[in-house]
Amino acid sequence: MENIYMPLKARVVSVTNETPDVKTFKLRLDNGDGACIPFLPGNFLEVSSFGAGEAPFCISSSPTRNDAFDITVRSVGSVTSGLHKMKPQDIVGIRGPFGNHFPCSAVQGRDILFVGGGIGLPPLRSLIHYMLDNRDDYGDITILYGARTPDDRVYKRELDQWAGRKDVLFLETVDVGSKSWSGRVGVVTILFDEIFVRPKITTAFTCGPPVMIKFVIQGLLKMGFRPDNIVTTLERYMKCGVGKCGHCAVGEKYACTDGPVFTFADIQKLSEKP
Amino acid sequence: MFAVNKIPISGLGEDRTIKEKHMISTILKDDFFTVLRGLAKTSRMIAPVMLSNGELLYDRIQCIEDVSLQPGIPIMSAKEFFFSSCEELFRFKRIGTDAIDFVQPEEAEACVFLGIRSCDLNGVRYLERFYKRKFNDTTVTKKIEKTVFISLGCLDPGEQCFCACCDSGPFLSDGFDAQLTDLDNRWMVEIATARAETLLRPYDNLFTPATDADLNERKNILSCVDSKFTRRSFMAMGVKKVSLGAVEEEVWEAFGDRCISCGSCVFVCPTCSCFNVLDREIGEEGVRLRTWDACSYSGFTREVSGHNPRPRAADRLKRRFFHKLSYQTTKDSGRLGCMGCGRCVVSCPSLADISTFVTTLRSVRTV
Repeated sequence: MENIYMPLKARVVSVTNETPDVKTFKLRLDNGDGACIPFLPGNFLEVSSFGAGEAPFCISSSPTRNDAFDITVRSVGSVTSGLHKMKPQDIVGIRGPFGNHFPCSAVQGRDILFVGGGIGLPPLRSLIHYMLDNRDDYGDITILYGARTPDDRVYKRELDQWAGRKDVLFLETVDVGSKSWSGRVGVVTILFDEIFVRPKITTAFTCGPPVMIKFVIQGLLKMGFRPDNIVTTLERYMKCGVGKCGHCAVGEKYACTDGPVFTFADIQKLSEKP
Repeated sequence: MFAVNKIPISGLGEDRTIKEKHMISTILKDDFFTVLRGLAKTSRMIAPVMLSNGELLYDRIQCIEDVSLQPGIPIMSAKEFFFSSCEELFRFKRIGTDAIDFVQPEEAEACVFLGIRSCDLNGVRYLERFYKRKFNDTTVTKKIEKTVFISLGCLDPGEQCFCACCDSGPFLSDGFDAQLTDLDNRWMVEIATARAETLLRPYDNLFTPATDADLNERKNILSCVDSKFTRRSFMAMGVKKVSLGAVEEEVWEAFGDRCISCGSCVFVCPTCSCFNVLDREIGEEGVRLRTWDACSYSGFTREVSGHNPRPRAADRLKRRFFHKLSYQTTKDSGRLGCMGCGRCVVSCPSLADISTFVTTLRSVRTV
């Protein structure tokens, strides 16, 4: 009889320092060829640091690069600090992938606008890689990224690569600059003034802290986006990942099984304000 | 055919076939004790016991003389036996620095649950449905599946009880394996499933098929019980207002001000099923535990960033009553999330229970 709380064993393949308190872990299942369980951008994993506990993390890698699961983790609580102590070859537990996913195929042929804030970039990164690896399936791709400070920018090397691509428009800003920072300073929505989008044929994907999402959605609506063309993720304190523990319930929905991906139109329909 | 005596009840665990027509018979109370004594020899049993202060509590039965089928409602619901306040999800053991081994929890054991009240059995069925949907949580559902429920209809509803308003009692029409009705010096036993029939077959000679007079007697008893309820909670009004988001903000405010977020309503509730998960590790060995949690706690939705979607007690009560009452959530569970057992009425120190809440909604309307 299958125990839905029993994790699979996986090993840390590599650890990348992103910022002073954020690391990306590459995790590979510890059985057979280590291939990932099939997933799509937006899905999440329950990852165990045994002894510290278990927590949900979005998969920050793309299924088009299917050799391992990436999770990008800020050290804030007991599970995440347990993970931050890990080295390559260490054992973790994995359950999942869980949740719904971004509408990767439904938006084929449309223009895409990504708006990410801080540690909200990881879920979008999965989808960005997915779309870049299937570049011909999508129209114009614009990526906007805002971080608190230059040090807090995650995936620094990839940001430079995106900035260098001719088939992608990448713009970024930081809330607070530094001596060595020559880029823009200001919240992510200041970037809206620098882009030209066609809201009717564009789908926007946005992830980040709640207050940022609020202002981004306001900005997108002002630009003329329809609520069902604005896609975000509902981040809730979550325990079990399978719709049982009750923590992530919002009205009649569970962020873990009905989400975490919702359109703004879905969110407006919820009987509880998220 | 087969020696029923020798068949341990675990062998019957899967056969939950519901009989087309319930078999109704009667048995002298003394003879029923003989049956219980026999059942206790072959299977584990849970039943109400009377504490020294006269209160009832469901407990695992060590000695059959402890079983009490007196009227009254046990202090705690039956959920502890299926969804425990603290239980192991699995154990893990580190082997050197490089490997880890997992140990599954023990398999659920077959069991007879005797004397469970209608509201509580409805609560168990509600939990079963909830834990089975989408991802089947076998740590809960297996235990329910392996239990034979012999429920006890209530003839004397307590002051707190309002199951009649919630369609969950005082008697059941389904969901039980067998149901008992007190006929003075006899029990009427209504058998609904094949496994209850198999379980009781060895004692066949002690049972008498119910006569028309017996059935009439029960009918009379049932019609009398309804008039004995002193508490009326008009759930339909609560359901409507909560579903439509039409509860006045001042009502939420008033209940939020009263609620001290102690969680007692959640812990005594037969249908509350929220939990927390944590690890405990000593040396090389550890365990992943599941413990009851309460949506009325301020930390229930607090995120690590400090952001809390439900910072006020009023927000949390709104959530709890929405989950129990609204069309939106009861659509999935197939019935109201409140069983009318009234335990929260007793346990709440500040009159913020669901019965007082729906009654308030009615009075707000009529003012």
